Amino acid sequence: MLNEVRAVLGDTLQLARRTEQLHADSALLGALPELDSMAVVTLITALEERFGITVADDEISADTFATLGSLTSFVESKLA
Amino acid sequence: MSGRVAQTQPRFFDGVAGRLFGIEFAPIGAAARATILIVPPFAEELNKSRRMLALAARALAALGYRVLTVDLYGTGDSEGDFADARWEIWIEDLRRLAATGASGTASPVSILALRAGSLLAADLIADGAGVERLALWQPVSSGAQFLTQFLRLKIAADMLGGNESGMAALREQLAAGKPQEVAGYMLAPELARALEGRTLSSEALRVPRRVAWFEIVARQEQALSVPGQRMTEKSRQDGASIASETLVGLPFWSTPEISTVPGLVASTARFFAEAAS
Repeated sequence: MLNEVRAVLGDTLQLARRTEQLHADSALLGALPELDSMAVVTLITALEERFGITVADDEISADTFATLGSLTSFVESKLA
Repeated sequence: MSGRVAQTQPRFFDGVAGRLFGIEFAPIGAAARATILIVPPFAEELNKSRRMLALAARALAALGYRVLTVDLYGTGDSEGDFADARWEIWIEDLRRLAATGASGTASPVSILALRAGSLLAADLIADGAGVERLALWQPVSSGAQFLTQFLRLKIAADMLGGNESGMAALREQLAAGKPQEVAGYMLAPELARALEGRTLSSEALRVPRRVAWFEIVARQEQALSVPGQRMTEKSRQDGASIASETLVGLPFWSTPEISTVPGLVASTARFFAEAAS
């Protein structure tokens, strides 16, 4: 699941080869300059479409987007 | 293809609420056979898409079409502030442009609409505008869903700024008639309400002689989106002449860096070339 979330993240932010360097502990918010508000929304939409989940608007929080690991856990919790 | 195949001319059009800035692309050395009106997407998606729309306009002018791109009232280089933009003004301006575009040529205008521009195009058609061919790029089927995605930009920006706000509060403010700034765009409650009430209907897609529905996918094996499948099937059942195609590429209307999908321009040109030949 981490790899799939990472692939969506890499595609959305156009990270190209930097995608492979991301692991569970990699910080996202504040660490990736590409992750501005438009990118956050694009990423949420892409995750919804890719995994068939619906993100409630009160779930858009800084904790969710802190690291690749936290984002993956969030997607897993939506699929559970 | 080499050399110049189209001439471009910046123009101002008289709109109902103010002058509109546009660019006219015309074939060189021949009279245009028909006009294609480009109906732009919403807010920041337009800035991200300008390059793709210009590429398409040039390619279509090379086929012998006159192509009009226009910044809607309150957007881009047109007059007015975004806060004063209203759906009804946009529709009336587009209706006039479509009527002007049709004059002097044998056929009604054709339309290329991107994203939420598809909802405007559908409204225009429902309003009685005759449309020859309609090409839709990654059409937005639900205005309500699109508005939610747009409002999320503010939620996300607030999150990045360290203060978490709520969608419910944001909607309450709009419902109370208070304009809200979202991603640098002052959204009027009237415009939000109009957008929220729009859906792409199969009735509208039945009117043009031919419709092409294009979607961008990340990988070759991906099919048309679920709403896309639903809409095209329903429209076909209702008698529309509609074809769909997916193209691999980046979602250029939202990528952090300006990106293009040349295959989409080529497929769109093929769609309009059928009619031009």
